[in-house]
Amino acid sequence: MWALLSRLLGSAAVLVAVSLVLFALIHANPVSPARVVLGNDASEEDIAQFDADNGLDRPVAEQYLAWASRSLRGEFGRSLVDDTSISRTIAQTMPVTVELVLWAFLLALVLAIPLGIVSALHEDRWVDHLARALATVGVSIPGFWLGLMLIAWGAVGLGWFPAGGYVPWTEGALPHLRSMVLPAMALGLYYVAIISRMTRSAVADVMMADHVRVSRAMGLGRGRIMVYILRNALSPIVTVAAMSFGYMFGWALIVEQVFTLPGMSRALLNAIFRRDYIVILDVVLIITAFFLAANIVADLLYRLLDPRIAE
Amino acid sequence: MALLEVRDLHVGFPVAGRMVEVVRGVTFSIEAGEALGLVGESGSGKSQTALAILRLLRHPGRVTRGSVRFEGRELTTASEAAMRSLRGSSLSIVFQDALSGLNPVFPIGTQLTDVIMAHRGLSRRAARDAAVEALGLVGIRDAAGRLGQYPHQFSGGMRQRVLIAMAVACRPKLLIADEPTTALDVTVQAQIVALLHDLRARLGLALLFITHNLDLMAEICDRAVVLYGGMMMEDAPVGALFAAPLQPYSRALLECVPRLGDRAGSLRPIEGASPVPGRLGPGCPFEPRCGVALDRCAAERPPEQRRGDHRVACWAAAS
Ligand SMILES: Nc1ncnc2c1ncn2[C@@H]1O[C@H](COP(=O)(O)OP(=O)(O)OP(=O)(O)O)[C@@H](O)[C@H]1O
Ligand code: SF4
Ligand SMILES: [Mg+2]
Repeated sequence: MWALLSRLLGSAAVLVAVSLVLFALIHANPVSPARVVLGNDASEEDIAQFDADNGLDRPVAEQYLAWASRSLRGEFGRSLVDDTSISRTIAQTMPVTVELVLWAFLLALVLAIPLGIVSALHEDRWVDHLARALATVGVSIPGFWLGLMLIAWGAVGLGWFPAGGYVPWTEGALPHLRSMVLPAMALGLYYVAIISRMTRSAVADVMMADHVRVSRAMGLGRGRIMVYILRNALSPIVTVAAMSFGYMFGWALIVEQVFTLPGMSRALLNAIFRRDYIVILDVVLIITAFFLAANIVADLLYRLLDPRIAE
Repeated sequence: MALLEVRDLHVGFPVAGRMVEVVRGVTFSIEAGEALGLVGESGSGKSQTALAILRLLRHPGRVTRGSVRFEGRELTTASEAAMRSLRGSSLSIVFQDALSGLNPVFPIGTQLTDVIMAHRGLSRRAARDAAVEALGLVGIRDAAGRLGQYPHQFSGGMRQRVLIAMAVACRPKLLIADEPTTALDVTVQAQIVALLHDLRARLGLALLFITHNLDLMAEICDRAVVLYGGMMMEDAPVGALFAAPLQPYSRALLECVPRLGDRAGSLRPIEGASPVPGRLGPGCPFEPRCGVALDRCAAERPPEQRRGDHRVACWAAAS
């Protein structure tokens, strides 16, 4: 319980720190959002007026506190630039990002865990060498390049999937899913490599454990021994999987751009171009929060799965 | 017919394309209900002999020659399924890794009932009762209440008791105990040895007791086989061995048994370096350290011969 509490406090501290750094960075740049909104020929007075209306003339610390107290009340506020509700923007873009991450995560688990297990069971045989080679390639390919390769293969070559763009559910499940396949692969394959490596090493470690030799020496069947091994290897695999889930939110932003998906990256880039710093802040913090939450879940699962820590 | 007959057993590990033999022609047998000690310094091949009997050698190690017969049945060529049904039931083993021998993420009750169900064809419920009984047998009180506990909730000595309970839950005819007390405190060691002694009497099981510790061995064994460099040096009743060892290595080993004031039961090293498997010549492995070596000792393997109730491999002991 204490551990959980301290993790939560730590995460809150990270969020505060990230928001402070972002705030400082944004304010280190002298161009006011007013320039963007009012155009290049706006007069100095207009800009001063805009800044005053939006509280941009206040000291940075005060602006920060104002933003922070609003966020703590759970309000996102409104865009400085076009006065749209930020919560609406997020409600429109976040589901796309979350869905992308979920598919990629599912793909990673479904491929990586069996691959890692088979690889560990056939240590140093060709399956293992193949799986390890794939994993090495998988972790070293840059995500956007993989995205382009996938487009060349799946969209241009085979023509099975659209090269980009997003088809909403409302236009049919199949077209929708087809539009998610390549992005999910582009995002997920790196984690197939990461998770299968972890699975392989966790299973291989457990197979060498004394207690597995005892299970064999007691004449347990293969299936039962496999259950014993997998249950032991579970903690590290689950931990890595949960942490990967958190990281995926970061990489999803790049993949969305490659495949022009209208996810949070779009909201973020728009905001950056327009110096709509409240939106920048909110989007970055949401992604950070996903990442931190995934880490907390990883930690909790680790504790739950290991009876030595669980009590 | 003896319960277990090991004949000319060779175990090898391929190292750099060459077979390195770590057990080099070991022969002994155990009668039903008999307790045999297997002694020798570290690396002499005791554990590999035990693992070879159960066909549990770690890959790529394997039996390269010889035969292991259990109740008249050849094990070196038996099917894996046949071995599986033998292991943990009529032929069982306790290892030295008492602390890490139980699976840390399953309650001990699950681990015990799994073994019982694998061999005795009981329902989970009946297997649970059998598990409680087995724990009682090794002196764990309130066994029913402890089935749900995890290994880390037990002390080292208690974990070894649980492992022994697991090994005898299906009433083996032969229990191999490979240095079952090495990982434990000295006080606990004596308790575990007493437990094995007691189980042997109560269950009528034969024991292959592997140890460094000649005192412990003398306490529970009827007969001892001395190994050196993967070979049998001497095989004799414990009393006769202690009173009059016939083989120079056995003699050296017994002289190393600590006198008053040394740490109880520990071996003091013999002069010279231990043999390295794969770098042994064709002759007697003890030759470099032997005080009475003859010319032929390094060149020719000493034949095994009977001398009263001893079996001895030594040129100097030849008549
Ligand atoms: N996997 C392996 N590959 C190569 N050599 C091995 C392997 N396992 C064991 N050996 C060698 O086999 C020899 C005999 O080992 P064994 O474990 O039987 O010794 P032991 O008599 O049980 O010693 P100890 O008292 O230390 O347990 C040792 O020299 C060891 O180095
Ligand atoms: S055979 Fe030779 S070297 Fe070996 S113990 Fe006997 S006398 Fe010593
Ligand atoms: Mg050993």
